[in-house]
Amino acid sequence: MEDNIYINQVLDGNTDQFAVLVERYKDFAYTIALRITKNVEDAEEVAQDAFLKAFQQLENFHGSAKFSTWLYTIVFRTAISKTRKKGLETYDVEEHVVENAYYSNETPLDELSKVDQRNYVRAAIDRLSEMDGLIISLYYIEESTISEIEEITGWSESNVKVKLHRARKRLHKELEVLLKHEIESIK
Amino acid sequence: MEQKKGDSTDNHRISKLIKESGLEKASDGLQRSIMSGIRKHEAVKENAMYSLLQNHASEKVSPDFTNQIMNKLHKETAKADSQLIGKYGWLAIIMGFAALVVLVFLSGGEVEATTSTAISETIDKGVSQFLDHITIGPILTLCVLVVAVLAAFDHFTAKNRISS
Repeated sequence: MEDNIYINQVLDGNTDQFAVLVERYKDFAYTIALRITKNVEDAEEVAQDAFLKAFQQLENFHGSAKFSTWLYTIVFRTAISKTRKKGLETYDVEEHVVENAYYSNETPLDELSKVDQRNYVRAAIDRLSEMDGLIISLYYIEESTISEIEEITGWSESNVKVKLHRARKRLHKELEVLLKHEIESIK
Repeated sequence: MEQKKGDSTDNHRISKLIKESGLEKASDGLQRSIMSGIRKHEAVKENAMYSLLQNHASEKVSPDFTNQIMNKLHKETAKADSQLIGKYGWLAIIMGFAALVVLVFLSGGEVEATTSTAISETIDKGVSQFLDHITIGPILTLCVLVVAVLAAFDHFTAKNRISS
């Protein structure tokens, strides 16, 4: 069922229908929060706060954009606010080279199980900056369009494209070995 | 010496001839072919990245996340429902009272303040004049009492209603 049906039911007083929307979008809301806060507990807290805010402001959702885009905008702003309060610094990964303690680009790929591959990918994304990790997640996992990313982050179209290009390039470098294997499997 | 001079002249002539012969012309499709190859390679890389991230990069929230949110929502909703006089109600009451005070001051409560009068004397005078000029009828008194009782009832029973 469409999101708007559940939204209207919630606005009519049927609060329990909000659970459907939470179930639908909780994982990616949490993903956005985790990319920015880089902390599991903070990310859960941010995601919860964002859903509560969304519930309180639901009457302000006019349906001109997708509910998910509107929700993720709230998550993004809540996460940024949280990191500012905690005084977390963000830095460009190219300036701070972080050695991967667990995996190297020379690890034979056949030895990596699915779980290890997953950890490898997550570690690679974690080594990106907060905004790079976020934009990669929005574009590749959620398959957001450029205009949706603009709406969520407040960045201009050109800014989104430049950041996406740079983030892609950095992630390519991080995932060189896995990507080669993936390319082979596609061929 | 002369041989060297001769060699140099020959080299010059050869190089001139080569330049005059011009560049080789590539076929019309070469550029298209190169760009097509580049695009294909980029597309394969992009698909590989997409496949890798779709399969391995998404995060999962804790299993009881939805329950935690719904519990908080139910508490908030219960709190809002339990209030007899909502925030807008209280706002209306306060504004009504403020309007009453202003009305009384404007209608009869003149506060004389000279430059030599101390601030505290001015305030005392204003308050006593205000009190002198208030004539609260029985109906108004009853309204104020009812509101006060409702407010007290709302405040002290709200917690019990939420927990039940």
